[in-house]
Amino acid sequence: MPKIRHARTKKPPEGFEDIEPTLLEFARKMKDAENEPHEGKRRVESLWPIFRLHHQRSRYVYDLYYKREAITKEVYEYCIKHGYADGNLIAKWKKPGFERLCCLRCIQPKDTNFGTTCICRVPKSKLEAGRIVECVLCGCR
Amino acid sequence: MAPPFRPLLPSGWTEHRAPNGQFYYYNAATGHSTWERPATVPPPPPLGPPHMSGGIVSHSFQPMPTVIKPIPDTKWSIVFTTEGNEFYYNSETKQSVWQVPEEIADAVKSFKETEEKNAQALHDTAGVKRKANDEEQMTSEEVKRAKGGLDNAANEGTEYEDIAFQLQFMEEQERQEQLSTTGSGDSGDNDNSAVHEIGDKDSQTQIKDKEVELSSEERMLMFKSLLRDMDVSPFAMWEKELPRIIHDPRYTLIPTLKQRKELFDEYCKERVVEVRAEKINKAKDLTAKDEYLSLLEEETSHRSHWDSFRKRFKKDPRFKNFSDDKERERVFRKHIHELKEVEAERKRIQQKKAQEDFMKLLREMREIKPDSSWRKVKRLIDDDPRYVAVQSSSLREELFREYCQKLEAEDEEEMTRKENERKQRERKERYSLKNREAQVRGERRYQNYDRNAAKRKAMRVKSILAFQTLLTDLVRTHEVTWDGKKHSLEQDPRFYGEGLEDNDKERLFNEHIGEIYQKRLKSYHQLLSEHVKLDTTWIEIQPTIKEDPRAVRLSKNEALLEELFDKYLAREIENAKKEFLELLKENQFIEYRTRMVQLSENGAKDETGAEKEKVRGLTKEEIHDVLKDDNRYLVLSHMPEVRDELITEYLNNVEAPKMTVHQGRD
Repeated sequence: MPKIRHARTKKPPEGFEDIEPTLLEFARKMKDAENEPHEGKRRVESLWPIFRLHHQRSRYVYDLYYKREAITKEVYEYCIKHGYADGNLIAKWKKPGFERLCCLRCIQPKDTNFGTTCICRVPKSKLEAGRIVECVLCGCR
Repeated sequence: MAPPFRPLLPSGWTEHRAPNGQFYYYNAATGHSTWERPATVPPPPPLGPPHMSGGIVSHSFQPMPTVIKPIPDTKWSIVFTTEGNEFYYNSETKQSVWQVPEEIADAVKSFKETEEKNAQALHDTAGVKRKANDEEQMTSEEVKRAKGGLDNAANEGTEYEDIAFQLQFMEEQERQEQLSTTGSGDSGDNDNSAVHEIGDKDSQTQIKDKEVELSSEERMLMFKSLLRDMDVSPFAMWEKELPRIIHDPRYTLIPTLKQRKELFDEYCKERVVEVRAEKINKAKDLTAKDEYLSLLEEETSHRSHWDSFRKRFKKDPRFKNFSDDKERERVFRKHIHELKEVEAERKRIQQKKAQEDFMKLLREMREIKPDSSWRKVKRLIDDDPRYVAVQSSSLREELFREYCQKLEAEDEEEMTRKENERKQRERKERYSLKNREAQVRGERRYQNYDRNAAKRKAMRVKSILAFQTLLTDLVRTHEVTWDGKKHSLEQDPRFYGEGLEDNDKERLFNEHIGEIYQKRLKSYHQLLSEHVKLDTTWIEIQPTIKEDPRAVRLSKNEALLEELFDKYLAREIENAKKEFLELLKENQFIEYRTRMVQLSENGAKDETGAEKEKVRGLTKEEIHDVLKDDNRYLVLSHMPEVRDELITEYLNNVEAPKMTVHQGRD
């Protein structure tokens, strides 16, 4: 969650104001997702929108810095420091084979019964055809 | 080749330059954009496969229609283009095809033959330009032929030129088809050499509607121009911008979403650089202006002139860097105008303050009277700085006069005010005095009334007492009347007691008379009771009482005395009767016996007659015997018949059975 900014916090670096509206929009969506009632949902399901928004927001910052080169290093680091983007997740994206990683939980073998990563990490070509695959950890599939 | 076709742009279309420098045209109303200059006659819209639909897009060397010739007896027209191609257009279904439709194949053939003849005729006479065109086309056709793939064409074409046209077109179509298939593939890299390799494949076998295709680079450019047209921010999210651009035909030029995303990123990269540059430029401009303004601030006053200013600061970088001379002058003039306004305002305020100070000074000079003369006053104050501050001497005098007038007015005002105050005070005093007096008067009246009432009451009591003593003194008999006695009473001063009315006096008099009469009557009755028994008559008693003072004092009138005697006697008899009856009641022996008699009579049916005899024994004689010692019995002894009557009456009354509950039961 982004840190709260007030009068005594350091001013955001120049160029932050360009991406601020989008980040605020994300914050709003996140708030909505947090406040969404959990009735009628499965236990695992309630966290999915949070994971999805987290991924989207990190991806947005990542894209802006690495792909579009639209923000400066200062702004990027500010975003990481203030929790607008997940530095650990982005660190994974930089590695080969993890370019589109959905969340950090899905590559954590200790979370699964078989000591493997999540089913969503299995390439489509290696899955049996017609089998329904569902990622319970973050709902990415 | 035909010369470039450049008519005026139809309404709604605008010309733009793409990032690569090439012109393209955009229709704001329909949202279409094209590399090619739109003609007033819309180009034939070949219907392509669905994923390419909607694109009236074609590259810059796409042919334009030059001649449209209707084919007789059909709804079709043959259209010749600037490229020398021809296609068939159905005016009814708005369909265009490159190939000759089967239904009109014959008609076309014959039509073409006639056309050819006409063209030949034209050639001979004046078709110089046409000829040149033909030759040019022929040479190009020959080049194509050298590449091969012309074998089958001979069957189709009737004339050499036609074959050439057809072949050229076919080859082009082939190439485009190839391009589109590779374009829709995954890689997206369009290797032109590969296209050329397959280019000489047999094209006749493929019968398919096809539109003119673009190179991938152009598509990318188009897509980016779409993003630019939509003014997509480089900081926006791809998902968020997608709905805005998805409806544009240019969007579909890029086949896969992945490529589109990549292009979007690329576009953002470029755009960010541009935006930054723009920002820096603007900032630079702004700072230059700021510096110029600061120069103006430092170096100019409201009296500065442009020419001298320019001459002085021509070499100054702050002057030089900002815009052009015209703009500089404009800003300068504006600045000076503002300064002048500020200056004027300052002056006005200063003047006003000076005047106020001068007035204050005058006020401080106590010796100024409304009729003081300016010359004398001037001498008193002319060394004061506030005097000097007002520069115009006439203004000073004017202010002085004004002040004098004000003084005068103030004096007058003061006078009237004082007068008013005094009047008001007096009025107030008068009013309060009057009030107090009224109050005191009221209180006094109230007290007087109280006192008088008490006094009157006391007087009345006193005079009543006096009147009563007067009456006791003067009135000794009851046989006088008020009218008769009034005169003699009036002689006495006590008669005129204060607070006594005439009727009061009369009332008191009558009361007095009444008292005397009652007293005498009482003593008369006493006299009678001493001498009279119940059987005494007036004749018997008269001589005894005649001389008695008690009777004499009551009245000397014999008749009146007799009457009173009769009344007395009657009352006595009544009393005696009553007493006798009481005696009878007291005597329970009689009542008892009478009851016994009655009971025995009632129960006689079953009792003996002897008993009856015994009970009946009580007679009048017995009653008389019992009662004879009593005084109340004796009183009535002179009239036994009355006594007997009373007894019988009593007995009769008693005879009513007086039975108790017990008696009744027995």
